[in-house]
Amino acid sequence: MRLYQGTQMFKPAIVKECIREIVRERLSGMQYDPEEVPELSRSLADCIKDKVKNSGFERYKLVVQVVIGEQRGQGVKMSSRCLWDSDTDSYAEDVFMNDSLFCVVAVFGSYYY
Amino acid sequence: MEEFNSGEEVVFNTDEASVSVKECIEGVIGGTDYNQSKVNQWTASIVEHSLTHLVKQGRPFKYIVNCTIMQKSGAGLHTANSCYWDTATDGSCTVRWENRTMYCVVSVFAVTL
Repeated sequence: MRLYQGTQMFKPAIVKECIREIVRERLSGMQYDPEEVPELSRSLADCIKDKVKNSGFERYKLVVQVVIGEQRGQGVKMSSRCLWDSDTDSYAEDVFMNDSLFCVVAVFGSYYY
Repeated sequence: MEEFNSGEEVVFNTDEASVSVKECIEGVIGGTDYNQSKVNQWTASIVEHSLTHLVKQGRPFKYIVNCTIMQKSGAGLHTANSCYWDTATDGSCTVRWENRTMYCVVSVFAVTL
């Protein structure tokens, strides 16, 4: 599958690094606070979306999902399935945990032909 | 492909997708209690059935379906998403479901080709 000239493929490794940096910077040392977390998760999602957009994947539509939950010893499971063109589309994910909360971020990139 | 509505503007139908996903969830975990050993196959089933139903609609979309199941333990959970796409045609829908022992959140994102 050939891409348009001058555009690059979605690189999961680079995007994972983007996610890591932002999440660690914003969440290290944070405690779970039910008043702040809604706004925090929204702003994290926007931040990550902007950073990935500016990393050079111009032909990609992006979906960024951020899940933040309190750590109370409960079980959680998150799964995704995608129907897309595996030659051009891909995703990257990262998990962050501290004593008080956990945060899962998934970024999906879909090539716009 | 004859099934696609070629020539007309296609918009993601959130209500239809919502109903479809809810049925899938009920079908897989309706009436069950949280079970650590079964969670893996539950999330996989929910996601696969939802995707199959969406594909049967025959619309020209790429889909991303995400499912999170969490045990009820008094802990809080927040999900947020941020998307970079064509707001005229692309869309998403999120379905929240719960029973006595667990929460299930399913998000569907659809982007046009």
